[in-house]
Amino acid sequence: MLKLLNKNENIIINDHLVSLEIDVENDIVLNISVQKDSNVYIKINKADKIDLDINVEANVKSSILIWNDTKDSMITKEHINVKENANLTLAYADINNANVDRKIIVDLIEKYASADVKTACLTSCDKKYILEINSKAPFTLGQMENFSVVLKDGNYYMDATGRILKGCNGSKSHQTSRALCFDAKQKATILPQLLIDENDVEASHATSVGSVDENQLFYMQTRGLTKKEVLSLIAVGYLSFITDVIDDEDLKNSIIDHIENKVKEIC
Amino acid sequence: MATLKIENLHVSIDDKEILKGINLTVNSNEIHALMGPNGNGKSTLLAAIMGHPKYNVTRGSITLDGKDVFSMSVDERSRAGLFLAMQYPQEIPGVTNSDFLRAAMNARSEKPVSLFKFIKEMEKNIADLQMKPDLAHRFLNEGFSGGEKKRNEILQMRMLKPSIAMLDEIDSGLDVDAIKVVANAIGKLQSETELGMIVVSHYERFYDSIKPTHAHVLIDGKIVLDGGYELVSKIDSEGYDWIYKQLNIDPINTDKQEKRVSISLGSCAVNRGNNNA
Repeated sequence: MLKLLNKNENIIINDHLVSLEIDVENDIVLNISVQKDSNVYIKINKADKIDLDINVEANVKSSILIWNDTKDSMITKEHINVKENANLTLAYADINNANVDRKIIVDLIEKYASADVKTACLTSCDKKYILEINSKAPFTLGQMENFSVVLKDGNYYMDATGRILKGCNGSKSHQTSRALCFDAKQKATILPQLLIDENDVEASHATSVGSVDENQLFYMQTRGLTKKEVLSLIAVGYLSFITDVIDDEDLKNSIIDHIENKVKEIC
Repeated sequence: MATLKIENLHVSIDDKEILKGINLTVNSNEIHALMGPNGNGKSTLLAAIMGHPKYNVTRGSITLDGKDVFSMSVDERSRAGLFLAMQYPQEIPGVTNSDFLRAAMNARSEKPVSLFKFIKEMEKNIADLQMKPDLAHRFLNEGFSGGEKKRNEILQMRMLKPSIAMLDEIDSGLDVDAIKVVANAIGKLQSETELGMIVVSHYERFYDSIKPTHAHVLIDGKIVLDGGYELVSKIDSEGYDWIYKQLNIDPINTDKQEKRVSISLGSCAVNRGNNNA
């Protein structure tokens, strides 16, 4: 299934492979209901503001990759509900050279729901995320991995919250956020939060903000790579994990090529 | 024919002089064993030749085929023909071995290496070094055992074909069989490319496998003794004491004496709170 989206719409995902392209002058409101096991690729060509609601129905396993290719600033408000025993992998690739401001709330609303949210960000402008995964039922699993490469003049902000509400025993909340800074005149802020209101749960977070290790840089340069080539390789390696969510090898390779080209363009 | 010429090299780290006037010339086809007790400057010499930013060259010169090495950046030194196989190779998560090596090979050729040719050559070298076939797709050195990392250094050397290579304790972490495999791989490359080498090792077993043409002993930042393979054998059986005696060197003065200064991080706030409670 391939669909171009240029107006508000309700979409039902029934196919295994689904490709959606958002291309709208101003704002768009989308409601997506994922009803079957699926691999969904959403490419954003143009949009000022996106309101996105996703419902992943019970017992459904779905991977959704959202590839941001806008050239201008974009704001999104995204609300995702994951139902009983459903499994969602949700990946965001913000590799483009334009400001983005995302608010993403993932609610695990029924028991045994799980969500794995991944964000890959390359920035030399402003990229801001408020990302929450809320366990609202027992035995749910919320995980997030946020990797960013921050270049000169980049401003990366990640407010990452894992929350387990009272009564949601047996739930797990894990998060990793890492920002790799390449140059001066850049800013990276990561606010990792775990808000736990129940016993008998598992929760963890790992965070790092730093530049490329001097010894790693030296090692790679001793093999003949310039500093710029080293940084490009590391940036591509840092961000390509996002493609792990894709089953389709051709699409996967094409997205890795996209990442490599974007990195070459921006680095 | 390649020549690396080091003259009166002085190198410091944080104002402490480590190398105090090194003179050494290495030509193609020569293997120079560089020996000496720990902490006397062997690794510093190799890293300084390669241009590690931590090391500050205060005096002297290094030329490769007459060209000033100090005027080259680290990557330019590599592309000019120098190679350093490291004692502790770095782990680079996210970058696969094959992507890294292909980029390194492309960096030194005008036209990109064809994927077919690259894969064929990499597979051949992986087989020669008896490495695991999945190595190409693994992240660079990440999760590798000590022995795998060392073999990977030699794999890179074989693929990049330098004119002068420096091997810094490449045999440490290798078992007896692996030493033979690595030594054979080095020997094969040398016969194909006339590679010149500086090899740092503490063990005759490794030197016996690669047969150095020259041997040098580096103590307290200076090469105090030169010789041939017989010097390696003598050090292996007798240690360094006879050199200290013969040259009237006091080993105590050559040991690294670090001044330890006690610092206080203050008292723990939690304990303070408990005391107040």
